[in-house]
Amino acid sequence: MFDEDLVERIINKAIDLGASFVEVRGEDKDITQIEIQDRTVKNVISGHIKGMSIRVLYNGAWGFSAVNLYDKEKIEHALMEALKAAKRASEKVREPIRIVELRSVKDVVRADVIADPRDIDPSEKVADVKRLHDIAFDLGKDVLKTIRTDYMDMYVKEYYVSSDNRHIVQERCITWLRSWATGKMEGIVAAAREEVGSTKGYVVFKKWSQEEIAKRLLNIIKEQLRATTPKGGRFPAVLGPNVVGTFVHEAFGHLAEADLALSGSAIMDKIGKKIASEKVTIVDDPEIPDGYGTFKYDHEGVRTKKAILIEEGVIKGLMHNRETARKMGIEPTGNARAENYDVLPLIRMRNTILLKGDYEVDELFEGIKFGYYLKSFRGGQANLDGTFQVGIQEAYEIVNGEIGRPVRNMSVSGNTLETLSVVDAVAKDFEIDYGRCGKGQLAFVSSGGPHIRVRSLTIGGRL
Amino acid sequence: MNEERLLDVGNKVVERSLKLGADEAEAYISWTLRRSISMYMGSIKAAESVEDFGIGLRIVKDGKIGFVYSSGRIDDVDRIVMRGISIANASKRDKNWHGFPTRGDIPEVKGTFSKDLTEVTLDEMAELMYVGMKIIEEHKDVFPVGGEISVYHVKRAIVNSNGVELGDNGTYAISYLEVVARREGYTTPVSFDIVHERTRLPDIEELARAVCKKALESLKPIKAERGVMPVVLSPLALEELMTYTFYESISAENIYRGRSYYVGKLGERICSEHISIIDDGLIDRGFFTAPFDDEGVSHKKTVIVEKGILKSYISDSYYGNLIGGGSTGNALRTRSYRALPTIHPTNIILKMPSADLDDIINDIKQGLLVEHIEGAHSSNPESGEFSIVAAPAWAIYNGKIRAVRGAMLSGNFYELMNKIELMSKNIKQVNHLIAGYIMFNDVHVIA
Repeated sequence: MFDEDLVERIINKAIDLGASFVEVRGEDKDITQIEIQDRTVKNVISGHIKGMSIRVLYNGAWGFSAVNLYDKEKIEHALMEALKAAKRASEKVREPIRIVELRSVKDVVRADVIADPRDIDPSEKVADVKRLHDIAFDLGKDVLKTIRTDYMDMYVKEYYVSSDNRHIVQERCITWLRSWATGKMEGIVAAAREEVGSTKGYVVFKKWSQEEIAKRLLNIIKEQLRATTPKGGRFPAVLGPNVVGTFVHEAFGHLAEADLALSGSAIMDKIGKKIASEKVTIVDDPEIPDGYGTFKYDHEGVRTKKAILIEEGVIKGLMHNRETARKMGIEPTGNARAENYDVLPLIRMRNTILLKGDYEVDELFEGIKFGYYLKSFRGGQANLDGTFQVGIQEAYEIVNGEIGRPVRNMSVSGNTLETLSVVDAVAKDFEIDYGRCGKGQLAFVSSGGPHIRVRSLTIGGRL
Repeated sequence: MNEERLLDVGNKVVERSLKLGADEAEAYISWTLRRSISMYMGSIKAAESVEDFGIGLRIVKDGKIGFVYSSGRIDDVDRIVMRGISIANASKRDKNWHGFPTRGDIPEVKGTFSKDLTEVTLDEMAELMYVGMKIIEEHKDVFPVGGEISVYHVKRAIVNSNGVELGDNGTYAISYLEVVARREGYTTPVSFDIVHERTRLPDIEELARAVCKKALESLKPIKAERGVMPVVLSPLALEELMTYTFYESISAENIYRGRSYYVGKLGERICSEHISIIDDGLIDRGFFTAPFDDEGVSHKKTVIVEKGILKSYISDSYYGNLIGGGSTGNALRTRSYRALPTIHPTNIILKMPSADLDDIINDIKQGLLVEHIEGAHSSNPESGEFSIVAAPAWAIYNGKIRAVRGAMLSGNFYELMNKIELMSKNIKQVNHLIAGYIMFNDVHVIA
């Protein structure tokens, strides 16, 4: 579908007409979605998306044009549209956009897939998801009220050609599953959420069996049903990998996306300064095995590399695209991602993690007279001013160094940088999660880390 | 790509579907051209022109339903159809399925398409954004954060095996601006406003002046005071809150599933007798006005609340049949051909006693004026409970306003429906909602 010669000609034509940079992205994507509500198969969907877009930088402004009904004339027309648009926009540019240009490259990256989801019959996938519900209803007949699961797999072939001579073909595969369950007993309602995924193809139920997922959901529900409510106030806390992952993504990560940082996030004036405990190192790493954010090239054709955000408590850098990297005089980190071919890439996270330390997990609990163990999160929000509120779906009291009673309807809030400065122990375990991040466009991201201990965290009731 | 051509594709796909073994089929085909100019931090950032064509096909076989979609030129109709049949086979039999809608009388609508708007150039749109930026510049202490002017041209065709064969053509323009004011080291919350139009570009001057005025009024905030007081919500804030509460609770799907506050409450009083709420998909120039919905069912005027009494829910054909009464023409595909139709309001019109906004504020001893809210998505649509941050917001003391920070509102939206008092006379459409500023009594303000 992607005519390299035609694309080359278009790029040359754009440069002849005065563009300083041109890139063409093409995409061919297969998607399967399944939605099951309780015992009802609500939707089974199969989608195919293909198309291409041209982005042109002319006198410091972007022109962008996308088409999916293409033939030669259409593509030429799209180029002229993009160019015309950029020319016009460039007349009103106050601060001309400039970008980092890279050395030429030619590369083909195949997806590293164990079981190609396109080869699996959709009825097998439906049966597998349905089995999860059957098991959940079976094991949880005393408490389970409703369960809903959304499953999705996606296999995408991406093409990239740019005027700095980068010719890239890259395949990626994503599988994702999320279940929501609610339970009820004696008038108390509890909800639980599990989200799993892989980049290795149709292996989600090999990584987590239906039984395992069902048990996790039911366990969270059952613990909440017998749980106590939290005391409000400031307490020492141990955070599990899932909560640490959410925290580094939501509360810290977004502040370190260079576009948001440059528009005035809470860390812009703190680069090079110590803001966190020296036990804290946070990176956005594109090479974590089977992470959603593991890929070789981003959607600006940039070879991805690790973005070191905090090293031993000191803010080291941000996540960049070609544009923000140029602005700050450094190399791009490969964080530009676009949901589809027909939207402009934005700075997005990949696998954002807190690096492990040298404590045993048990040691973190020792010496805590009274505090909380925050095991997994429900949802929440973080703000550009550096404050956050997060709801916790699975929490326990810590009493005299031991895990105690479960706690329900807990929320934590505070200031991100303050919280990072009171991390006093980091364990040597490590886990990542599979999630989706919305920033106008959807991106599949991973985040994670080890268990950590914070000296003091503001605990509250229902968010 | 003209409308006849879309219908041709639709007819062919439905015909092949039946030939290749489907019991029923429905093809939804759309062509969209989006053009936009975006501004970021006071500089025009990008000009975009994005064309998207595709088909969404629902196939029914042996009572099982499958949905496939495909973008771009359809080179091989049979392949899509076969994929649809295999997806239907993978699904489970739906005993509630009662067939696709049949053909009805299609009403006429006005103000949904403007040839001029399809011919507006990116040049003209950039020029317009520039006018907006210039006005922002004229306001001392106000800084542009972002903005966009977008124009959409959408053609769609719906063909099904029950005789529906419809096509139409619409234009849309959405524009927004975001600014902050900065003085003496203090930066205000983002002042944001949005304009939804069908047949013309926005009045950018009015939009720019409005956001600048609100930003400047947000300077020098005092700490919000807690208490139970009258709160005046902007149409923008109310639309946001209703999206996650009221619109969910009047949906036939949630009624059928027993997940709505309004289950079994038809005929009951749900708010003051001075209030009526109408879903009208036919009103001139309405943002969601069209002759028919995304399943090909005629749009109509549905009275949801009449003088305080709940009269009707809104539905698509599937859930309309399940709860009785049939479709109200409220099936919408939120992501064009890539999505199945789901239940959404068209244009929601609020009717109640009104007064000038200044007079409403003048009569308040102690209250809160709220322009924008955050966190409405965390509301519980079933119970109506919400807890939201109000920013920017202003305290009202004896009819005078003063910017506040740290204000939160919490409560139950369905209970608050009983506390609606008055609406301002200056009415506008924000997404689905057509309303003015609305005053609610006895709202919990947390500081």
